Amino acid sequence: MKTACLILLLSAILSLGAKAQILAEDSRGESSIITKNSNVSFNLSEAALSASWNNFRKLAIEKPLQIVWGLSASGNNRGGLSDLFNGSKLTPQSKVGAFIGFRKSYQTTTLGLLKRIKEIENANPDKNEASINTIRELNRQIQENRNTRHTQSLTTYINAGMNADNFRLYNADNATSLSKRFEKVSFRGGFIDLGLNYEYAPRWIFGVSLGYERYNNLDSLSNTNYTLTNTTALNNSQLVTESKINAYQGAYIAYNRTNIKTDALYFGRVSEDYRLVWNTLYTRIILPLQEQQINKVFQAGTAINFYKSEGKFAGGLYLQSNDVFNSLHSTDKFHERLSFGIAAKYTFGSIMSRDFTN
Amino acid sequence: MRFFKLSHTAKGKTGKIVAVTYSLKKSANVTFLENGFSIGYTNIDLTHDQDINSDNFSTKGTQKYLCLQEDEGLQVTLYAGGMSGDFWTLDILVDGVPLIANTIKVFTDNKGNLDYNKLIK
Repeated sequence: MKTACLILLLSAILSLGAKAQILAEDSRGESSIITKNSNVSFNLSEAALSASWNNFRKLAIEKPLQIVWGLSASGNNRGGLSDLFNGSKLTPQSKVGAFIGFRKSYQTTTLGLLKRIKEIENANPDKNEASINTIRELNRQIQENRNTRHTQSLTTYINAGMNADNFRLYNADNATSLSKRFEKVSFRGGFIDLGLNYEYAPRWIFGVSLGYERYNNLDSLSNTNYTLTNTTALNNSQLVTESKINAYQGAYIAYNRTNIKTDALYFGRVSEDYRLVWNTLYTRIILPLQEQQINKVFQAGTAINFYKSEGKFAGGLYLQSNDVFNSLHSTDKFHERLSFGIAAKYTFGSIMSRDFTN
Repeated sequence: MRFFKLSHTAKGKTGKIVAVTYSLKKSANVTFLENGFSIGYTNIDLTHDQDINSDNFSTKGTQKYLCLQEDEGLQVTLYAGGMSGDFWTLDILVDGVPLIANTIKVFTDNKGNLDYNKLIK
């Protein structure tokens, strides 16, 4: 819980100078698309919270080539929201990262013509006939270009960081004491992603990333609640106290893996006031480097968010298959490998712009 | 009164010089093209005029732009891009008086552009 509180506090601080954007992510709040992130998001089914701080405000003014950078932090409870209400101990998982990239605009023709006009005007303050004719021709070319070309951009980025899990692992064998039986594990991993985002306005943004990650198999261990009972004799009475211990069971290993993520966002206008962004199909391919012990997994899903045109609030749904080809052999029934959830996003940058009226 | 340099395209136009203030607001995905905003043939410095809220741009305090207003109106040109459903709004005051055309509102077209190039009153 401390982790969640710290991240909430951090997000409130970091979001003050950040920009509000909306994105439909997967069930873990992850995406290969970096430039449309909301500042703070809450995923109600996974109890996930994330925050970011970036220079996206500079992207409000389009230039031929721009540097984008950002910091991000996210935290969630492994057991989802249910554990928040039943009094069990939480299993905090957190991730911090930073990215840097370049955004290339495909409005270069128009941007170049506009820049050329400015240069000619600065070089010819006397407004001679030749410069006026040249600028008239450049303006004609701008109009022609705007009538024929879609707004497009390509962003290339590197995203790297660390992730952490803190939990208790149940050891049935050779456990001579309570602390050895419930071994405290602090996992520290890391990741690096290379990604591409292609924006083809007004409808589509495509994202793909290739990553390397140090991870663990905590997802496949069983989570169990134990009750520890202590009895103390008090004269002719007995004092009984109980405490709950939450621990994971199974063969725990940390391993290295490669991740491939793809996203395809579709933007639409639902009504005068409401918009949608639909991640039509996202895929997550996980390829462990120790394949004897860990299976490769193919995940796929779809997610849709609705938001007010000012971007003040977004709420949506996701539907995800956590194991499309049943690589983990958990169940043969496809629908039983599906998960769905509700996501709600609050964008601090938008909340600050309450004066925005249509 | 820092900015007063009419574009070459104003050559041959007739009218009067007026003091302009403005407020430009956009939805999240809109991007304005660099050097792509002018009012009355005067280039507007969007980088300078960006508010703390990065989606808003405006003249601050006593800041004004001197622009050419023709008899037919004030020439406003703005080039922008965005996603479906995105829009920007613009309010202009000429010598402290709001234009009849306020509030100008432009939505994304089928090319992903939100361009505006008109004489307005």
